[in-house]
Amino acid sequence: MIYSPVPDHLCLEQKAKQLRVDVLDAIFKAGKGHIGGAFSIIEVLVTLYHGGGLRIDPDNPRWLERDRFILSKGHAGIALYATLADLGFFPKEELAKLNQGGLLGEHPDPQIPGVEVISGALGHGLSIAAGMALAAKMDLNSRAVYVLMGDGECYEGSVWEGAMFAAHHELKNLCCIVDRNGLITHGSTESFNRLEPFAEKWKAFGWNVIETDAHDVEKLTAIWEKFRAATSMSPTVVIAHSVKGKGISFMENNPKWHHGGVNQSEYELAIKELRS
Amino acid sequence: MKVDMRDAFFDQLVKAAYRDERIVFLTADHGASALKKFEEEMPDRYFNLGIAEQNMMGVAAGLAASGKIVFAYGIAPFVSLRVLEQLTIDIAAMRLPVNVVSVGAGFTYSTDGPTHHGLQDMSAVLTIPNMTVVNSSDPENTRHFVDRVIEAPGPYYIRIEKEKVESLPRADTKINWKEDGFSIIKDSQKRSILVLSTGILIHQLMEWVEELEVELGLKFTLVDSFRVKPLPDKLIKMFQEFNQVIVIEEGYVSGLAAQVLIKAAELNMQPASVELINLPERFYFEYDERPALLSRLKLKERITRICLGKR
Repeated sequence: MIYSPVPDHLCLEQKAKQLRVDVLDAIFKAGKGHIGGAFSIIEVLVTLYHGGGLRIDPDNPRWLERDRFILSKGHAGIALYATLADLGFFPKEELAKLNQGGLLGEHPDPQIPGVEVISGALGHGLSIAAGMALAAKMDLNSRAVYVLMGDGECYEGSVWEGAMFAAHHELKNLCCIVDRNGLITHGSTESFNRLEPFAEKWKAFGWNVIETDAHDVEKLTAIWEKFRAATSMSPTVVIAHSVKGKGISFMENNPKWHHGGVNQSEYELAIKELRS
Repeated sequence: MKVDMRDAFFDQLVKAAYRDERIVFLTADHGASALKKFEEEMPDRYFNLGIAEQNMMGVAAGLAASGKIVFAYGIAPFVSLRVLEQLTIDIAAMRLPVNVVSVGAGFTYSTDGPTHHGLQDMSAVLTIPNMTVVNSSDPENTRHFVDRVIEAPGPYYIRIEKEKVESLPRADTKINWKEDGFSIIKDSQKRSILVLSTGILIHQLMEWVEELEVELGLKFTLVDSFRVKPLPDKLIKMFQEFNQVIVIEEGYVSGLAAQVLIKAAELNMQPASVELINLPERFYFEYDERPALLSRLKLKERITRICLGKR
């Protein structure tokens, strides 16, 4: 049976809060993790997985007609795991064993139910997604392919090879989401090697460009519907302006929280903020 | 009759593609006359992705993960070294049915210099787990590769040649892929010296061992190790029947030679009687035809020197 929830924005916001708690718990228990970039993509994942953006079946992860989702910024794997566990792709207890000998490691791999491809080396996901979208087009199949990249990932030249290819082959069934949190490990994308004018770059490559607030579930839900109904032949990129570390005041927009551990007092403070 | 090895491969591939609609062909703007037929008759399954090999391998992975059998074609260094991470992570780690078709082994593009030499491509892909590596030596095994990789899907790195060559006179008369992965080209009754090689160099070695048998009064057995990884146990165990084994190849020592030593160690065999003849690890800024470059390396003289020590 296909999982087809009715989008309820209040519920999606509550779900996002709960998933942030799940991510925080897992990283606290693991001792360290990529918390900032996981928190910046929570609403994108919730609206895709819980909000009906993706056609998937948690009871049948390998359902042939499913939409494909690739987390190209694999270091945010814990956000995807929390989402998949919540939908029952695998037992939620696995989250507590993150990086401690269980099913889940820092970066996704296809042994994990619901994960399509291995990721972690940046700049790979878009080309793989383009290949999947091309296969669906060749097969006259309506399945869509979504790939979520980091903005820092867009420094990789292979991203632009893939962008050119997808536009040339009119892969309208391909939706690329860029988590535009503006930070790489050591600071701002714009101060080290600027990405702007970012939207114009994608437009010049022949893509439909949509810019949005990455934490607004209502806007995101509408974007997934619009993408599905689009008549243009171009692939779509959603530049999702996000806040790295979103949801926890002392983590927000602070590159320090790209990767690291959370101590007891930080954990307690963070939980308090998430539950307020 | 001499046959262009690219024609042998692609004619066979076109036949297979007529039968099997899963087959998709990708090229990084590299051509061959025999490919025209594929492009003209199955244009919906033929894609020239331009000179963008990283994207080609990612797209290949995505297609293969969606049920296609993919052939991705280009010049040796560009479909190996440049895309080593894509081959490793996107393709081999997920055991996807992608067949990398590489042209330019050794000094195939001799006058193009180090950027185009295929001296390191095989060494690089040999480090990738799950990757089967095969090296063509004549039209017969080149055609054979097409059928086998479709029959037994997985990631393959397939080296083909662009030269016109005769079929090798295989002493064992067959290409036994599953069990052997090698062919005995010349089998001496008196088993004294085993010359083991791979690729098109086998043709030159056939001439040299005939000459050396007369010149030195020794008997040689010549074996074409066309499947370089995994090397068959049977091949390495065969070493025990010989007084001397010479492994010779048109590449660095990290290619076939390294695989032989690794397999010998795995089988706990003493490699004392094995001599390696490889191209010295350096960059070849020398611009000449392939035979001329090889002759400067005095490969035959090096075989002779080893044999004289054993006579």
